Amino acid sequence: MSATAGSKADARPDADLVAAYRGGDERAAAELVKRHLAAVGRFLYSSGAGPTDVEDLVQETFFRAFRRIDGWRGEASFRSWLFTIAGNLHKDEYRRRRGRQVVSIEDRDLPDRADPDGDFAATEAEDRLRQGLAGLPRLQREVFLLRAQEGRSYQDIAVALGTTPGAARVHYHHAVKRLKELVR
Amino acid sequence: MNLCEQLSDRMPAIAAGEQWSATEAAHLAECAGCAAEWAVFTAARVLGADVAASLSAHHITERVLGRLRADRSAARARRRGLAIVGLAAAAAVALAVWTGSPPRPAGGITRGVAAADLSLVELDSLRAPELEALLHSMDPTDDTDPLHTVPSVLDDGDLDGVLDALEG
Repeated sequence: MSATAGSKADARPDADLVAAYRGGDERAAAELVKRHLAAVGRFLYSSGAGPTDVEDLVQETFFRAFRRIDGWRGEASFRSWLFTIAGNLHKDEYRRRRGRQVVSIEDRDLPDRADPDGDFAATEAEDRLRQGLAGLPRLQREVFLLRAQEGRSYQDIAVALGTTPGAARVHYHHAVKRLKELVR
Repeated sequence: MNLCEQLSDRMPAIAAGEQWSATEAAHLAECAGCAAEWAVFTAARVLGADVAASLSAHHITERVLGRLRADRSAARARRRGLAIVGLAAAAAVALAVWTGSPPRPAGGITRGVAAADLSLVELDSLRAPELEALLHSMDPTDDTDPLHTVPSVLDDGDLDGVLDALEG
C-alpha cells in the first residue's frame, strides 16, 4: 500500500509519528509531510525563495529531515526543526546562486482576479514585504517568521534557533523596525 | 511593560483568534507604531499562502520517500561492497601467510633470527619436560616432510643440514 494512500487525519503528536517513522512506518512520514508542508512552503517563500523553487526546497527539506531524523531530539517543536533545515537550505541555495538572481520576486505570476488595481497594490505590498524579509539578517528573519507565521513563543524560538529568549525578542523588534519602514 | 510591548506580545494570540481588550484596541487605534507593527505582522502571517496551497502533499511525499528508499539501498550496497573488499583483503593476507614464505632479510638467516629475538619471559619458569610438552602441543608437523623433521638434539652438522634443506 502506498504510504500516502488514505486521507484520514492522524491525530498522533509529532513525536509519536517520528518514533513510528524511526521504526520503519512510512505512513508516519507521509502524515508529517502533510501536516507541515504548507508551513515550510510559506516559510521558504517568505524568506525569499522563488515560487518555482519552493517545491524543490520543500522536498529537499523533508528528505534531509527524514534522513537525519535522529537529529531531532524534541527540544524544539518538529516544525521549528524543519524551519531550521529549510533556512539552512535556503542559505546554501543563496550562496550557490550568488552572482545570479536569487530572490525571484519579480517572476511571480500575477493572479487573475476581478480587481486588478487592488490586487496589484496588494501584490506590490506583499513583494515589498518579501524583499524586506529577504534583506534581513537570517536570525532576525527567522525569529520574525516563527513568531508571525507560527505564533511561537520566544522560549520555543530560542530553543529552535540556538539563542536565548531575550535575544530572540531583540531580533524580533529589530526585524519589525526595519519592516515597518519598508512597508510604510 | 508599557502598552506597546503588551500589544506586541499579544499579537500571536490575537492573530490566532483572541480579541484585543478595550484598552488595547484604543491604544492600537491611536499608536502609529503599534498599528504599523500589526499591519506587518498580519501581512507576514498570510504571506505565501497561495504558493503553499499549490504544493501537493501526495506528490512531495512520494518523491521524498522514493529518494529515501534509493538512499538506503545505495548505503546498503556501499556497505556490502566494503565488506566484500575487506573479506577479499583478509583472505589474500591469510593465503599469503599460509602458503608463502616471507622474504629473506638481506643479511642472511642469522640476521633474520636475530631480528626475531622474542622475549618470552613466561617460559623461563618452565622446566625442560614442560617445555618439551608445550612444544609438542604447539607443533603438529608432518613427520614425513624432511623440512619439518627436526632432530631433538642438533649439533653443527645437523644445523647445516637443516639450513641447506631450507635454502635449497
